[in-house]
Amino acid sequence: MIMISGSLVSLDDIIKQYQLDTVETKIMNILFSSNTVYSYDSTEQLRFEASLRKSIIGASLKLYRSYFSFRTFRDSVCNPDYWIRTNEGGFLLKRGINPSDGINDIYTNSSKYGTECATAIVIVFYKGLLDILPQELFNRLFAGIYLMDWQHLDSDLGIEYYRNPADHLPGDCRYFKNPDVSPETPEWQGENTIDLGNGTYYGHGMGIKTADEIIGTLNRYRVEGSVTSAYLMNSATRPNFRSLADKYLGFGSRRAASSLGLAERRQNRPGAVRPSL
Amino acid sequence: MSDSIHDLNDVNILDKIRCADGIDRLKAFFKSTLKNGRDKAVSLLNDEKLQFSTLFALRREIEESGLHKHLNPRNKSALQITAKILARKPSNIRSLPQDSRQATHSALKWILKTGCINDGMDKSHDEVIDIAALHIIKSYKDKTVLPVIVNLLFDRHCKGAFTYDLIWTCFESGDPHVLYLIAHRLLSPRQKDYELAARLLKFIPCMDRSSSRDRLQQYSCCIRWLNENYPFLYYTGESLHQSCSPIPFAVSLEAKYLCKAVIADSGKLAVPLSEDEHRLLGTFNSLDNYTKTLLSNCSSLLYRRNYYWWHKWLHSPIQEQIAYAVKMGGWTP
Repeated sequence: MIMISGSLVSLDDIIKQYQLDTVETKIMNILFSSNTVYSYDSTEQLRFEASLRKSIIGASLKLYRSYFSFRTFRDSVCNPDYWIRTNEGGFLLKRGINPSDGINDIYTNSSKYGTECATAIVIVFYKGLLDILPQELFNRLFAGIYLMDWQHLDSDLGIEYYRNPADHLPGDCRYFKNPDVSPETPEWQGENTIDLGNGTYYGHGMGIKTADEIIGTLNRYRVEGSVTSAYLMNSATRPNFRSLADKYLGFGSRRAASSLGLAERRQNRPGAVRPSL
Repeated sequence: MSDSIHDLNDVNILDKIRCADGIDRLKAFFKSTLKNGRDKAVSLLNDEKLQFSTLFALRREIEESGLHKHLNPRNKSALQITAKILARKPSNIRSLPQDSRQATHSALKWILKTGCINDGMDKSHDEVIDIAALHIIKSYKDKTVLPVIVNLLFDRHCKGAFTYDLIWTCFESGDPHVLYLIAHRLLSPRQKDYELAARLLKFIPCMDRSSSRDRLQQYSCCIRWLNENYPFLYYTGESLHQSCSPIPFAVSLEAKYLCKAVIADSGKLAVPLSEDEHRLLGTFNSLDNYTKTLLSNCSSLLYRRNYYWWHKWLHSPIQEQIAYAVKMGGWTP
């Protein structure tokens, strides 16, 4: 169920208001058909979450198609023009570099980068945001990015780990755990993935696979003779969509709405008044 | 002081040269010793005082000169482990015959204990030490090395070196005792020790609440929480690999309510329950999480204060138990 400003709304209300694509429709369907009440301050806030989730999926596909390689933290590499590689294997944005340029470089000069799956997911979250936020806002929010698994995250990203969420949504980060991993390959202790919303997951170093295929791959890295299989955990890791939406919507509402396509769609609705220029 | 003088005189000459003059001089010395006679070179390598780091540094020279077959079992095993780790090949320790399993265990402990002295010598060297530590903990379930691993972890952190796998190894031990070893670092004079300890123990409720300005208070509340919950703590398997706020150890509320210890790496109760205890748990598990926490805290406190009252309380109707726990202040440790 979805509640906007304290009132339950129907899926039809939202569909009438916005043209939703397949992924967004799927997200809305899960939210509406859930027994849990999802509360939003406005429809824009809800629409932002759907757009960001879609953008995260897009960022995953782009990273999958790039030359960004899988490497352990010990052997991670980055483009030194934009990032400083720290001794713990993380990437710290160099002084004087715009966060947006740093993140975009990972995609454009992808062959210069390589790290583990957890950092890849954080990169995907940043890129997902970068693709829908005004660059100026992105750079303001995420100055001094440090990419290293789930540690040292920018608080504005508001990453939260939900142990038992009521629903799983496209764009969620899902974790496959491999409890009996071989000590020689600790990097396969688990796989952080993005739920692509079509029964497949993107995991860095794995590619795009079904849950069973990911489990099968992880099982190959178990100790010999193990009978304990890898498995998909019920948890989900998500950015704080509502807080990010507020920052976005508060950042010059007209520009914000325009870049999401909200303004145009609102104007095209019957009875909408076109603002005078 | 006299101990360290004694230790210095007792050091293997190869270790001495490596530490004083570096790896190139060590290799040159070893080659010249080898030229003058294989026996001397072999006896220096097989010396029980030799540190792993020297064997590691000379592994190519040993291979090239065909000395491998003359090495003692410790060295042979250590070189085999090293080769497998660096080639990322599984050691398949579980399927080794008992003799080899024990020899491998001893070699792994030697790698860790003597290798950590020279931590930072080389990236591959450090990787071998990290994986050896993980093997000892995961493959052999040997927790005796935890103090060595924790020391190594905090020293690495101070140097700003790679700590990721060591942190995971500490928690993978599934032994809540590691939390005490980490908690002691809250009082360390090294600021970086404190920072790492506070970060790793962030999941302990009172660590969030207390001020980092008063380390003694933080340490004391952390130890109090550990003492209170130690028998009921179990390893959840959560790590920094999967979560921004992992809770690696959690309190089994059922165990705490019945005041029965759990098996730390499975979370299951260590002893079978009686029919009466099963019945008590049946009622307990029908409650919400907040009430369960309230009752388990109350139970544990009563148990330590007065066994008779605890027993009476535990067997009173559930609403009376709740009322009493609330009256006690609903204290949450």
